[in-house]
Amino acid sequence: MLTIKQLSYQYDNSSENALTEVDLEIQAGEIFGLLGPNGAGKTTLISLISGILPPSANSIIFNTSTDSSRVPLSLVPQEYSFYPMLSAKENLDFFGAVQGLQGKALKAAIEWAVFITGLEKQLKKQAGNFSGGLKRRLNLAIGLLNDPELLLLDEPTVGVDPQSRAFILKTIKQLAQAGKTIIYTSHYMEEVEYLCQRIAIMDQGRILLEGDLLSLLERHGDSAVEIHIGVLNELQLTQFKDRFPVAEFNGDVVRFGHFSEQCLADFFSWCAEQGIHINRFHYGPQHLEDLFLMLTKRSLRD
Amino acid sequence: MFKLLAIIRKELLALGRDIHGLAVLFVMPAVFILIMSMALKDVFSDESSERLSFAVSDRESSAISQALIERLGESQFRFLPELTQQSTDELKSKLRRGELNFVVVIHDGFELSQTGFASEQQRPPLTLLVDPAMNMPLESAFKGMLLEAASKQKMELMLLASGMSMDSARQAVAARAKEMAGAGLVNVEYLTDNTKQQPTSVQQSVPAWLVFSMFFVVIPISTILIKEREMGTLARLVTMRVPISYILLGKFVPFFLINQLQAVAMILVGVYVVPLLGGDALDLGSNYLGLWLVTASTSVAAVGFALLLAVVAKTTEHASTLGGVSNIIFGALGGVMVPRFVMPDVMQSLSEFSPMAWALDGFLAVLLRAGGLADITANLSALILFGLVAMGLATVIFKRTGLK
Repeated sequence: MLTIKQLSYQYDNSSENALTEVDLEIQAGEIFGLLGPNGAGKTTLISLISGILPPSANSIIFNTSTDSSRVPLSLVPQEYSFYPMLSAKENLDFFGAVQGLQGKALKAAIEWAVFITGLEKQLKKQAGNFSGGLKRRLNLAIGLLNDPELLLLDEPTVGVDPQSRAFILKTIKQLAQAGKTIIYTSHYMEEVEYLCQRIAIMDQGRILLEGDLLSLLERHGDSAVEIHIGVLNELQLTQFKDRFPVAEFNGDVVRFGHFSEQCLADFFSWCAEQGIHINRFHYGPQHLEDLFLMLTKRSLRD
Repeated sequence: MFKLLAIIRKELLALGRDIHGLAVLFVMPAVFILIMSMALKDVFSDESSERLSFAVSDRESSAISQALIERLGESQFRFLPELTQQSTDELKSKLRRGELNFVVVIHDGFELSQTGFASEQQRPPLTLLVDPAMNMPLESAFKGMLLEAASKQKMELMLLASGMSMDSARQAVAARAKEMAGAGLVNVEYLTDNTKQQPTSVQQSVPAWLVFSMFFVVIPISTILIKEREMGTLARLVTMRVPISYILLGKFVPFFLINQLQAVAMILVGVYVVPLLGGDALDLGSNYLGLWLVTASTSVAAVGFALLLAVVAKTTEHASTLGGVSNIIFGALGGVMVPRFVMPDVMQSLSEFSPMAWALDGFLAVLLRAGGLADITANLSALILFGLVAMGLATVIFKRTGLK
């Protein structure tokens, strides 16, 4: 669907590259996760793919069967990119019309986008008065009007309630099942793990890692142990820090990223001595966030 | 074309629901017109002239100087003949105390000057002493009256000397009196149209504040464009392959229409509302085509300039400051706040760089001087050229930096 070769980009007012020699291959019909902290270059990359910024020649190649040099794509920006003074229907009419849709074609496109995003009952309401979740859905609906082959979703669930988030994620899965190719950027690791088959982690304008999500986690992340124990008192906390310096404690979960059998045995003995109850025990690959932190050396939510 | 129509429709829909923005564009100039027309009513009326007093200090005491004093006594200003015998210094004192508004000093040599026998090096035979607190328009009015009287007298004397009868000379001079007196006067706007009386305040206020308010579209246009940039709708339109020129043209057309509606509304205020409050009614003259052409070309300039500022400004605060300040400077230079004819020469030269001056001159030519199309062609051309250049620059800048 999309091949990116040695793509670099520098803004006029900057002395540093926003992107440096980025190589990516996006397969048709997949949901591709693009991860990176703020300033990693995700938005620049999305802007170059979508045509907001001009890429260098032959650095972005759309593999399309149509005559067009670009596949029909659509960008759903992180911002609520519609007109709050207009109703949802008026927004959809406008964004359809500026893409050349008229008459029955426009009507059909709106009906489909509205059906997918569940906005049927909100069409006449002024978009500016929508809740965060409805705004996100309208933002997505506008992006679907041109029936895009490639959908660029930039943080599409920021600022929404859990119900709307679940609805949007389910909708995105359905779109992928219907054959849409989706590039998905998010700060929410669990969303990426839920949606994406393949990911790329970016930082400082470069791709640090790219590939199949599960393979990457198995290949790059050591297994970890998480033990849910509940709250420690001050004395226990001091002892814990002295005896198990390699472990992390975040309030109710002890986490051993690097451990030995002896270390774990010591910990269970200490729990027994202290009368600390073990609620849950988990052993397995590290989460995507661990992998991300390991690669970027900083929190994803910087 | 369909895409452009969609953009125009969207802009009109959005504008129609922006009650506050529209209120600023319509209510602000209407209130200005009402206030300024009423506040300046007396400044531009004969009634105010009647309240202004003057005396003459006749140092020559010739028949010619006496004849001039008689002419001055027939003017609309209040002549105090009983002070004519007082010395110039005494009259100056009265002037300083505010007991008089003007003193005309007739120097020795006035008769020679009027009969054409004065040497070129001779100092001006008349001196006008003005109350320091006098406002400029009234000072100009009095100066004009004085020069007209003196010029008429001089011309009549010259015609008599050439053998013409007194009646014939007076008729000939009367026909050209205003034109002659206008030579060298700054207040030329009043003098080229023999069919009109001195302009009323509403004739000045409506075009002035209309031009000012038309240029105020810079605030809503730039605010809308910056919000669209911040919200990502511009980026979205670019990904939908909507040409930049369409986006800008899509803003031009609705705001051009808004400007036309502003003009209609302000003219209606001048014609119908100001008289209800005791002011004079706006006289539109008969050149409606000229009036519309000035309005339309002012719109081109105003919206073009607004689009240029809109793409240059990066934040709404920046746009408000840039737009507000530039409008006030253009307005001050262009004669909106202070009539250009009362400005010093330097300021009048500077005012040539203000598109508001071109627009205002165009309106005044049509409304006050009954100017035809030929009289406003230069103004129309300057305004349209200014607007097109501004829009061209806006497009180029927007293509380079519009989404950043």
